[in-house]
Amino acid sequence: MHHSILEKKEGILSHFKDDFIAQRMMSMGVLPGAKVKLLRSNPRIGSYYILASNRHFAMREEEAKSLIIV
Amino acid sequence: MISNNKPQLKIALCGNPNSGKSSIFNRLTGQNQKVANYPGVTVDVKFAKLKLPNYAIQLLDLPGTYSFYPSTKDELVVSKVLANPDDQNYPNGIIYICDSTQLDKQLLLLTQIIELSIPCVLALNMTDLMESRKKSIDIETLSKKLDLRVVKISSKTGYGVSDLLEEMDKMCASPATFVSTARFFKPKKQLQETASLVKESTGFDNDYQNILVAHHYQAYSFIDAADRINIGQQLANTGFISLDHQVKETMARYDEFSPIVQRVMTSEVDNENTSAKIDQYLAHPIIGVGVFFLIMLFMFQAIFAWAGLPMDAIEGLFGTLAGSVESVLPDSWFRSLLTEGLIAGLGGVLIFIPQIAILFFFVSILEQSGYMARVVFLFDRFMQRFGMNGKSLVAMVSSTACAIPAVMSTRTIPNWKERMITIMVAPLISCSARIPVYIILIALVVPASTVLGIFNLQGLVFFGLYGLGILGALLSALVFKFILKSDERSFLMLELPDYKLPSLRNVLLVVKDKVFAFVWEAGRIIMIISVVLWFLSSYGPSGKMAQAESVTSELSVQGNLTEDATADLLASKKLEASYAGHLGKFIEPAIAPLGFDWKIGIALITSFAAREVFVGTMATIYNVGSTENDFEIRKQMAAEVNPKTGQKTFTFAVAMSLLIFYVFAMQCMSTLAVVRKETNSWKWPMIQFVFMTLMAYFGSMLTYQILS
Repeated sequence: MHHSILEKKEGILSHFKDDFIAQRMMSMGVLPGAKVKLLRSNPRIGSYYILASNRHFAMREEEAKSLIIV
Repeated sequence: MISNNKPQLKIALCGNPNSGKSSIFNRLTGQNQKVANYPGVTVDVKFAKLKLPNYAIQLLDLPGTYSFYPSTKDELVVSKVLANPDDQNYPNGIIYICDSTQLDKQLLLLTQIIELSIPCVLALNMTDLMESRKKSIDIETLSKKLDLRVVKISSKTGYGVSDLLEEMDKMCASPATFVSTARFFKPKKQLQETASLVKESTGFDNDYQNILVAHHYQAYSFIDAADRINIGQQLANTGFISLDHQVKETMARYDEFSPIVQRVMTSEVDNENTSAKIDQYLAHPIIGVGVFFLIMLFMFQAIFAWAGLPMDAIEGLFGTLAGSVESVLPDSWFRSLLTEGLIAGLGGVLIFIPQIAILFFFVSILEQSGYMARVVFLFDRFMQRFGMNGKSLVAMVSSTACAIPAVMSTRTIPNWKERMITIMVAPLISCSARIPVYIILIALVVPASTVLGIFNLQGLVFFGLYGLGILGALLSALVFKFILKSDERSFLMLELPDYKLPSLRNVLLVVKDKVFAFVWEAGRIIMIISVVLWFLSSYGPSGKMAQAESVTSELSVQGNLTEDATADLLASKKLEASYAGHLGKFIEPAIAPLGFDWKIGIALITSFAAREVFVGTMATIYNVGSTENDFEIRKQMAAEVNPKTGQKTFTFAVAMSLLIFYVFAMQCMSTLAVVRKETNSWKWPMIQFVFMTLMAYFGSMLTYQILS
């Protein structure tokens, strides 16, 4: 089943729901097939701390939602 | 060998953000770099001169970017320069800096660059880190596959720098052999057709150059208006969707170079990351925010606590200097110009070196350690409430040093509205130029007592003024949030780099640069204004000056004054009759409700050029207005008496009112010039000037009326 990283906290990146985000994440070295993991999420500060391809990223809910993982 | 006759060439440093590019730049250029971002000058790229055995090099530090398809204006500069051989910064060769621990992710941009057939050398940075992690890269195979020379370097230890310089020299001597023929992207038929359509307008032979133009023609200023319309129409006819092609190209490139990386690099083990562990605290919504405020509080306490001693030393030095000039030279207009104009003005500038050095020391440690990215993470949501972005807070933190780099740093904010709001409010954050004014006035009316055992009361008031600036910035941001309209997409995707210990060398280099820039750039303005001011306050319409003398002698006889008192009275009457006095008197009615007299009025006028001028102005005015040359300006201001009321001029209410004025007022021509440049219109700096000055005027008036 395909879920966004917000629902399923950890897994392999299958695709991006949004081309705009896809282009930017791929430029930073995060491609489909990468290991991704939601490390910290806190609604109070509204940004998400994500481990992807062994690197850390900060993103908002909107962007995190478009990371679809299996 | 005559070094002046060496051929001049340009070499650019390129690489991803966090590749260590700037540290390499510092390593290569050391003391000779020209960082032109203080008053007056701004550039898109940093540059420095570099001497090779056979060539004189102008080294450019292009902004770090992940690819030619970036999300910010700042990063677009890279492809704008490299895609246009006629650009004034178009390099003869490129050094591509790559963090070797991130080789699998940082080659994307390199594969795009070599496609433009520019001579290039690959420099693998942080190879020392690789070795400590027991990883290695097969340099030979990598070099063969990329068809590039590869040099191992370490920005930390300086290892390999001489090898890199040698390769640069060779690249200058035979550029053609440094052009890679490796290709990682074959455009499909449709894209090839697009490229040839673009070629009709550009005339570029290189397909990839034309493809870049197809993606960015609207942002490339080297494409003229007619061509832009042309290209736009043709792209529309062929149904070219930029984003779609960007994704495809990026995918295709990774498909090509990823196998190479896997072959040359020993496999990567899962990164049990210490940064993530640290971030359990530093990126924690409560602890992290608490830590941020503690760091800020510590920073401002340090500025107050550590700067005292060197400040006293500098003050003493100038006092001695003026004293010896007085004893050596005979009394003349020249001696007066020297001691009351130049030395007083110069001392007024140099005394603030300690604070500025300490401030930049902290700011650059925070930047270089990777902590700033966490600040973005922590405060993004909060800043969004004010119509801004997490990155806006970083701009504001650097605005505590100077608004100019802060305004320039907003280029990393992709969303127009968020960027505009940040630009408009960043100058409300108290910058280092306000420090002199704050310090003098606080020291004048706030006792240096200790509160709650550890806090210095003066330090707390100082911190409070910064807080007031922040509050003013946030509230104005809220207003702009409702005024400005935009339906552009707002997003945040930010890499949080691993924490690293900042190199003391780089930090001190920044401090040195900034202090030098302050003394040289700001100092020049202050010196000029000091001299002009000395003239204006020493001379006046001759009739009025004569009148001042006759009035004084009359009063002296009537009041049976002593010789000293008469001389003091004469000096102050003369100042009043001088040109500067007239100027101050002219605006006095407007500033009277704020509690300011005409002497302060003179300082306000000169401060509109640059606010740090305030202290120099005060020093000049009070030195001219007194028979004694007391270089301890603080003592002079404390002793100043208002002749009308017979009370001290700088009462608590007046000093506070003046402080509030300096917190809010837009008194920096350089910032206005940069805002004009960054927004491409006079409209924004005008709005900024008006709203900030109004805030200052009414804030000040309110303060004075309540306190007095």
